[in-house]
Amino acid sequence: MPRKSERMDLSRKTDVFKADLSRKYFLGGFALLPFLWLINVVWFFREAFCSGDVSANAEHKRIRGYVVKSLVGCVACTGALIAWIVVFQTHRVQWGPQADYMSFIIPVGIP
Amino acid sequence: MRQIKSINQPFTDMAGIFRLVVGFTIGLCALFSGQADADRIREKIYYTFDKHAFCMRRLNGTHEIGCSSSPSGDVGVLHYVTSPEDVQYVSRDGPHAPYIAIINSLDVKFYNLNIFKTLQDSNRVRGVILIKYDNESLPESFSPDKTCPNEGYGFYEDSPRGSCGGIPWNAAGNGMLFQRWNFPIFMLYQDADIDYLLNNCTYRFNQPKTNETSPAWPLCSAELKSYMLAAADSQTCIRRSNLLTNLNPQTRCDPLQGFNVWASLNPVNQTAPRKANSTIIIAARLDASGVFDFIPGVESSVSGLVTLMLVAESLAKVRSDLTDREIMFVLFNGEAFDYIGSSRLVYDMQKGEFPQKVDLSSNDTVQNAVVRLEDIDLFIELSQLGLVREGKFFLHTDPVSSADAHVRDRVRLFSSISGAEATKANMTSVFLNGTQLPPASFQQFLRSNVSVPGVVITDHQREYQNHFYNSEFDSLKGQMSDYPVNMSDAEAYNYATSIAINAQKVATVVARSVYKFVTGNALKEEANLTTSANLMYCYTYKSNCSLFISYFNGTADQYLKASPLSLYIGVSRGDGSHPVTYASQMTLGNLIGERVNLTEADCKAPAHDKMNKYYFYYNPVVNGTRSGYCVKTNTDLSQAKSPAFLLDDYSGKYSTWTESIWASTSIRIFLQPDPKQDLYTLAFGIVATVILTALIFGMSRAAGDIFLASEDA
Repeated sequence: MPRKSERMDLSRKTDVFKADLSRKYFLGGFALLPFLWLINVVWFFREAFCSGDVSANAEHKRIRGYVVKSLVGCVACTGALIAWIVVFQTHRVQWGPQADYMSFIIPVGIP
Repeated sequence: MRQIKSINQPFTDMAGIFRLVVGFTIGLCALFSGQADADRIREKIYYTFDKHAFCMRRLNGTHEIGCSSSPSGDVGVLHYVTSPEDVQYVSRDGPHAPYIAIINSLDVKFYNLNIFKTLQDSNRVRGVILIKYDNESLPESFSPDKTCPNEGYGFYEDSPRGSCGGIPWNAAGNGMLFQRWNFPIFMLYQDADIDYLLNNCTYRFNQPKTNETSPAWPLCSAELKSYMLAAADSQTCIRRSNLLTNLNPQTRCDPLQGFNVWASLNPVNQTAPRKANSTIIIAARLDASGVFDFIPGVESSVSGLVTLMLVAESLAKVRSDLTDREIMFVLFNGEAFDYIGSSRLVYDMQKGEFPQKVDLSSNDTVQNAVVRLEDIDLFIELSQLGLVREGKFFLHTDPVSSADAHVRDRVRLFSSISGAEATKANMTSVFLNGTQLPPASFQQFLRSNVSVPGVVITDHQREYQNHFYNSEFDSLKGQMSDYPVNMSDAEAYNYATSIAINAQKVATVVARSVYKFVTGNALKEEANLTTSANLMYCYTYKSNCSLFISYFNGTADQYLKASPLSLYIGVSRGDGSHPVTYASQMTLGNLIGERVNLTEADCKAPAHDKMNKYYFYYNPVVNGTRSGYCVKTNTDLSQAKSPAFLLDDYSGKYSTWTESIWASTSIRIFLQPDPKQDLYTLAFGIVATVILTALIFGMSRAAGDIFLASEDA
């Protein structure tokens, strides 16, 4: 097995610390940072779902709660983002100046 | 003549693939030995035509017109379209689509709107190469402008009979210039290039072999690249050019703009009270247009412009008799694109800024008084005048403004004088007052003030005599006014072509009529035929004539060539005017100015004089020194940028034309292999990668068995 970085090695931390960390990530996601939710899901997925009988461990149960909620938030945001992109790309020309003011990069040579 | 290289045939068969592999190996060897030359391979595949013209994209408030290629260029198999069957072949039947059609631009059976639309609608044509032979005879008529030029921007938009009063003024007009094409259009105009394109490539590779119906790959193909950055309309592209939040600010289009030239005889100082109806404006057009950038505009605009200069010269000689009036000569720029110059000049007049805003706070005691629309006593527009037939020219007047008694009287007075003066000069001046005016700059004045008296003088009663209005064929040759063969340049410079003679005749009558209109007396002098011949030579034949050269201090070679200057208004970056504008300014300055005895260094306006301009004219270099003379004149430029761009008003009240920016343009031909070849090459590459990867992987695992481990590992 390759050696893990010590700093990133969650296995040395207590379950309470992990649950608190997961909570921080979950709350942080509300600051329009859905990517934090994605990280939360990826990072704690194993703790939440693959560490045996979760119901026996209250902290793991908490983590699972945050991971599930983060996952929902992440999927919702991704869905919203995709929907926006589709709407923007299909209506950009029709919206005229407003769409230009929203853009940082405007393609050349097409309307 | 360009050196002609032969085309190599890359990868056309299995042997080609073998050559590719061998070539690749050799290439690698060359690379590692430091002798690779990437250009060489490209040059071996492509033959590039450096001298070409192309159709560009222009935009107005609502539309885009002209052409653009796709971003990386459009590729198609070349086919020379010389018969209706060829049109069918490229647009429906040919098996090698997409095609690029070659069309002879002198053959209007194929260079016309319908054929181009057929090609466009087929979706099988990726571009058109027009070829223009030097010595072939020109078509009978061809005009890419509209039948009703500048429709929608004149005085008669609300008239029940429409902008042009139901008259197809430009009967030859097919409107191609104002079409949007979804493929690029290029023009090749060097005979050697055309010969190479046809004989060394198209005919050689793209004709079916005997017993076959269609030719076999490889085929001669072309790649046309002219990607235009602007899109949609002027408002959109200007907005996008100026957006500050844009991460990569990129200019996409520029307004068509330039300068009007004006000159004033007996100018009025702003301190003196200007008398009512004290200004006579004599105007002509400075610009012309066309699909490509050779725009000689011989009849479209030069005929009127030279006539104006001859009138200016004649009246300047008798300026002391004319002190009762200020006589202004104005050359409008950008008139071909919905009256850019005249709409701006009228706008400036209404704001009190023509010729310049009077600055009372400065110490400049000598300044031009502003000219307002109400000050105009008579407006005389010299339109197309080179093709006067049987000495007959036409005074078009406006029926709407004639309802006003003052306007009617002034116009009638001038036309009766003109009629009498024409008769004296063995000509006929026909007064037209029932029909609408032809498209003319004067319409912009009427649009803003219906009580401006004016006439538009032309050589046509209804449809233009000019069969090449705003086209690349509006040349001396097109107007049957060429110099005799074998005439030397020195002789040609003083040779009066039929257009020069017509301009001089009309100028004589106009100058005498204006003189009589102002003074009540008769003028004996004729307009100067030599000046007419000289100017025609410079404007329509060779711009590097001694007259134009005298306007430049040794830098003439940069601007003047052995060909006419282009009359396209173009776009303007910075403050400089285009060569033709500058040459016209200097010509007019000299014709109405007075020589003063000043050296080059002292040839400038004295303090507090903002009115008079001092221009220096250079003599040819003699014994290493360049002498010259100084002229005091009241001639200058005024902006010809449409008010639409000042007001941000794209509603269609003013011209909204812009020209797109492009990255680069190129036209090159090459031998295109069978598209199956692409697949073979790709499959070969994938197989080779897989085999080589497996091989190296195996070697890496068996490294211990293949290589001896070194001692110190």
